[in-house]
Order: sequence, then structure tokens, then C-alpha cells
Amino acid sequence: MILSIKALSVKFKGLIASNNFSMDVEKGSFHSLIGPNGAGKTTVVNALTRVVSSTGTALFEDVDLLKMPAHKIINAGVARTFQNLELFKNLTVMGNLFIGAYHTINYNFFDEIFSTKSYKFEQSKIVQNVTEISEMLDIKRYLNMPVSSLPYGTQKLVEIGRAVISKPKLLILDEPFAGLNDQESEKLKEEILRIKNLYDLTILMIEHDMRIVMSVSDKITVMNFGEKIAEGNPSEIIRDRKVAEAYLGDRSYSRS
Amino acid sequence: MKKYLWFIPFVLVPLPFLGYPFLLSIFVLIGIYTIAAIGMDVLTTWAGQISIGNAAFFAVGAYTSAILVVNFHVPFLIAFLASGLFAMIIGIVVGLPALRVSGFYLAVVTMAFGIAVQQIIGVFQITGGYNGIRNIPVPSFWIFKASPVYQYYIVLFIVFLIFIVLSRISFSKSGLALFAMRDSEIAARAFGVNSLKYKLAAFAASAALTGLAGSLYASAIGFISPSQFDLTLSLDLLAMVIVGGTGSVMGVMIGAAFFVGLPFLLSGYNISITIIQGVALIVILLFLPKGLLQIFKITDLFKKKVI
Repeated sequence: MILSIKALSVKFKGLIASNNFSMDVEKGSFHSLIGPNGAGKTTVVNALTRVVSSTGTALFEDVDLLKMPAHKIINAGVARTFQNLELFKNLTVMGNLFIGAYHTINYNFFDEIFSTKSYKFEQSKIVQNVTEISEMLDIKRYLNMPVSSLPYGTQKLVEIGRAVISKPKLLILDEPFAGLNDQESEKLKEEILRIKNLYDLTILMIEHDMRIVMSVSDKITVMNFGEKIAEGNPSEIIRDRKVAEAYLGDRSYSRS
Repeated sequence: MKKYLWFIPFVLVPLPFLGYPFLLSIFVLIGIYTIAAIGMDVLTTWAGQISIGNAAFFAVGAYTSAILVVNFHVPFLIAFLASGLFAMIIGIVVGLPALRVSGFYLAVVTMAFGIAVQQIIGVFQITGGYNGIRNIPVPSFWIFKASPVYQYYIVLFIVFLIFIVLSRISFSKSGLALFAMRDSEIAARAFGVNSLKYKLAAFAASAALTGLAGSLYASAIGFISPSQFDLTLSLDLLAMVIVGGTGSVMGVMIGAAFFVGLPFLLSGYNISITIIQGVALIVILLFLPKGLLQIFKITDLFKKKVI
């Protein structure tokens, strides 16, 4: 078990976005979090990464993520992407990936000003790192281009690259396939699986595309109205009556 | 080394004008405003924060330096550094509300601060009240005599130092962290950028640079009073950055030259400077949204790489 969420609740001025939500993520697994729009999936991820405040606990390798400030989460080994791209739009791809490695940089302000040995060493190490990752994701030719000038699918790759370069143990992907066409989706799926194996990652993914969710997931958790309604491997989830109701509507209700 | 070469012309500029101290003193003023406007640039373009109260830091720097030199006979170099330090401390205090408010609200908070400081200075005895401080000596030491040429090279040297520091941090941990925080605070924090620390650092740096400029201003002009540090100065500093070209020392320098130089150029004619400046501002913003720097097509070296 790498992540264990217990009794996580998030309230926005009376609206309960996540209610007493509990979930365990196995180390090395590909875990998907699904549910209808507004079910509270992103809220759970935002709570884990301290974007929103919440009650409950979320033990990640024996440290409680919910007790940390947002900027320390990455040090624990949790990196994420965002539902509606949160890239640094005025920076180049290089600059974006650089920030992915921000927490690994040891030099300080004076090293920067005086361009010391350790500065030069670390700087070249990061640039080399960035180059490697960009080569792997096939975005090396965009390195010196402003990220906002790239096509949507490529921007998504940059966001994943930024998360991967931070060398996380748990990678959280928030709807990575949204807005991509079939070809792009297939390509991204391959990339994600390759990265997962290459870096020995655990992945927690929020996704709506059921075809992809069913084909990559080891385990699926289903949410609706801020609560967990089902959990299991893909074949169990497909047969679950509550899940079908959440997505297609209650049959008894539609009959009346 | 190549990126420092554009400074060489500036080293040679005063040579033809050695017989015209008045012209040289205008160059000095342009340099001083460049330093203050860089302070504004660091805050707005680098960190994405806004301030229309930076005249207050300018005033704090000018008064700290003037009081130390006139009343306590402190050597200028020490007074100069002290004014930067003192302005920096106040900058951190002013930066605190920025952790809670942003955008228009921050603009109003800083504006209120700017006006308050101007009023406070007018009340105290040690600052000379609304009459200000007169006869602030021009610094001179070692082989350098107090002259505009000497002031010019001091100011140029400081601008050069600032340029080196800025260009070195622009593609480093702290520079990129500021850019990242500006573009997406939520993502920057997710990758370990302590936005609290960087916002305060941006305010501290901005205030320190503006304070240092204030100190140089006091010694260059020789006379300071609260009315020189009004809201217009804050707005001018912001306009210098936008008119010249954001995110580059060269652009800010052009902006400062525009705002300081133009009134002197037109002072011989019987035209209202405000009207010409206003029209020029509108025309520039309409046709050169990236500032006057666009004409020269000089892109800052770090700009090519990072922004």
C-alpha cells in the first residue's frame, strides 16, 4: 500500500464535494478513479495535493499528506497533472520541465549570482535530465518553443513530462485523455504505460474514457456525489449495478 | 561574454558631452529611473504582482540616504546601502498583504501605502516636513570628484551589476520559480515552489532596487521634498516598464529615457509636455504593444531562452 486515504471530506460553503471518502492505492498499480461529472474526483486529488483543505487522513508511505503545505507534497514523492492544463504559458518547454525538477535543485541564490561550480554542475545535470525526458516523450524539438504555441496534445505531454521529471513515486493524472482524438489517445496511452514501467511508478488516474480505463487499470474506484460507490478490478466494475445506475440512471426511476 | 557587449556604447556615451554637464545630469537621471523601473519590472513582469506605491520606496531610499548624509555625516556608500536595506524591510512589510490579495485589490493596497508614506514624511521633523531636505552633497571619494561624469559611471556600473544578476537568475532556480508562480501559482506550488517566500522576495527586491535608486536620486538632485514622491511617480515607474518593454533591462532603460528625456527635450518649446506624453503613450500602446523595444528588435538573451 503506497497511499491510504481515510475519511476524506471536503466542504465548500455547505456543498459537500467529498464525503467520508476512503481508498487505498497499491504500490506499483494503475488505479483509476471514475464517476460522473461533479462526483468529486478532482476534489479528492486537489485535497491530496493540498490545493483545497480537507479533513481526514491520507497516509503516503507513513506521512500524512493532508498535514503538509502544498509545496512540500512534491518532496514526499507525489506529482500531478491538471484537468485544464496548468502549464507556465509564457515559458518555453525547457522552462516548464525545469520547474518539474525544481525541488531537486540544491544550489542557492548566491550560487546563481556567482555562477559557482555547484551551480554549473547542477544546472547542466538538469538540462541533461530535461533533454532525456523530452527525447523519451518525443518533444525534444519543441524544447525552446513557448509552450503556449504548441498543439493541445503536445501540451499534455509537456505536463506529463513536467510531472515525470520530478521523479515521483505516485503520479496523479487528472483526465489526461480529455480532448484528444483516438490516435492521440492511443499514443498517449502507450507513453503513459511506458513511463510507468520505466520509472516504476504508481499511477492514480481520473478519466472518463471507459475504453482506456478498462484497458489499463489494475483497479478502479467509482465515485458519485462525493462518495465511493464501488471498487474492484475492471471486470467487476463493468458488472456492478450501482455503477451502471450512476452512469445510466436508475432503472426503476426511469420506468416510472 | 557576448551578452555584456551592448553596454560598451553606454560607456562611451558621455565622452562627446564632457563640456555639457547639464546633458550628463539628464543621463544620470535616466540611469537612476532605470534602476527604479527595473525594481518595478521585477515585481510586475517577473513575479506577476502589481504595485502602484513604489514611489514610497523611492522616497524611503531618498530620505534614508539624505538624513544619514546630511544629519549624521555618514559616508555616502554606507548611506546608499542602508537606504536599500531599509526600503527592503519596508517592502517585505508591504508584501505581506500581497499574500492575501492580488490584482486590483493589491493595486489599491499599494496605492494607499504610497500615499500614506508621502503624508507621513511630511509630518516628521527629521525629514524636514513638507519643506524637505536641502543641500544634499554630491558624493565624492578617492580620485573621483563630484561631477556628473563620475555620477554617470557610478549609475551605469550599478545598472550593469543589476543586469548581470538578473540575467544570471533568469534561467536559474529562483528566476524560473518566479516566472512559474506568475503563470500558474497552483502548478508552481505543486512542484515545490514556496509562493509565499517568492512573493515576499519579489517585493523585497523591488523595494531594495527602488530604494537604492532613491538614494542616488537624492544625491543627484540635491533637494528632496514629499511632493516629488507622489502617485504620479509610482504610475510613471509602471508606465516606463510598459512603454519601454517588459522583462528586459534594455526595454526599461528606453522607457526611462522616454519619460525623463522627453520633458527636457521639449522644455524649450511652449507645448504642454503632458499632452505630448499622453498622446505618445497611447500611440505606443496601440502600435507597439510590447513597448518601444520592439522598434529596436533587441530581444533580451534570456527572453529568447525562457519566456
